[in-house]
Amino acid sequence: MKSIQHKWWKIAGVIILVYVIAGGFLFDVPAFPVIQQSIRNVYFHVGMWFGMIFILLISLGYSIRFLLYRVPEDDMRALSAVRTGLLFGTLGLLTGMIWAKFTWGAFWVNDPKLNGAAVGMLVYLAYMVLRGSVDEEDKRGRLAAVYNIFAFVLFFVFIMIIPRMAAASIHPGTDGNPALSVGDLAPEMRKVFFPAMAGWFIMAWWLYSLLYRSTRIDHKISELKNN
Amino acid sequence: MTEGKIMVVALLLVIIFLGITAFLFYLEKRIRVSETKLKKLEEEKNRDKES
Repeated sequence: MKSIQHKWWKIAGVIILVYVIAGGFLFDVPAFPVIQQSIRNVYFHVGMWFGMIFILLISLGYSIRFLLYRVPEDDMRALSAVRTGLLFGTLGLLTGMIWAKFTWGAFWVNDPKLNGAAVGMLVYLAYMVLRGSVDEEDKRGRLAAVYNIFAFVLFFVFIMIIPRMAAASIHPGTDGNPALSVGDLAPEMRKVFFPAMAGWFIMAWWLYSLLYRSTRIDHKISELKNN
Repeated sequence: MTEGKIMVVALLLVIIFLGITAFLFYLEKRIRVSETKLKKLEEEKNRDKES
């Protein structure tokens, strides 16, 4: 438990992100038609989305662990991770919408990748609704954990598989490993892109840990009251 | 990149980001205080039960 409270990795994350924000705006980027300087959004928009997938994977892990060992803390961890994921997902959608407005001409276009992402977010909003509808704690934990496993699979299908099966998408990255494959990202942008991903992962983990600890305090207070 | 004043934009965003980060560290400190308080309360309660 002590390791989560250590400060050094948070400070490292902050330094990385300061570098990413400064470098992301100041370093030279290749000029392509239409996209132009807006390519800099790749450090932030993709960062939000990768951060979300990372923290949702953490959530999936704790949900499986909860089903195996039935420790209430694992359920709280899964819940906190989904909440963090929803924050990152919302920010990812918003940054993407602004980008879309200035490159595709509209905030939202009817596209398999975009609609898949929206439906995927709804799947996780339903997780929150499901939790709200069950009062008994252990039952809620089990139901939520089972649904969370299902939600991750569904989410994966909506954002990774269906867009790849669709005939065409205006959104880049519908095959291979988006932004990671050779040729996807200009070499000079890598020196900001990879630190950006690391920084946003650290930020996601930090926010999740704060959320989890406050949730646990809340839970302990009600436990003390009831005994 | 010398003609525009993008430097100002980057600097402002860094400052805002650092401000939010400082707030997060402060929040973490507050959470830690609550955790230790709660731990003490729990220990007291357990001692009461035993005695």
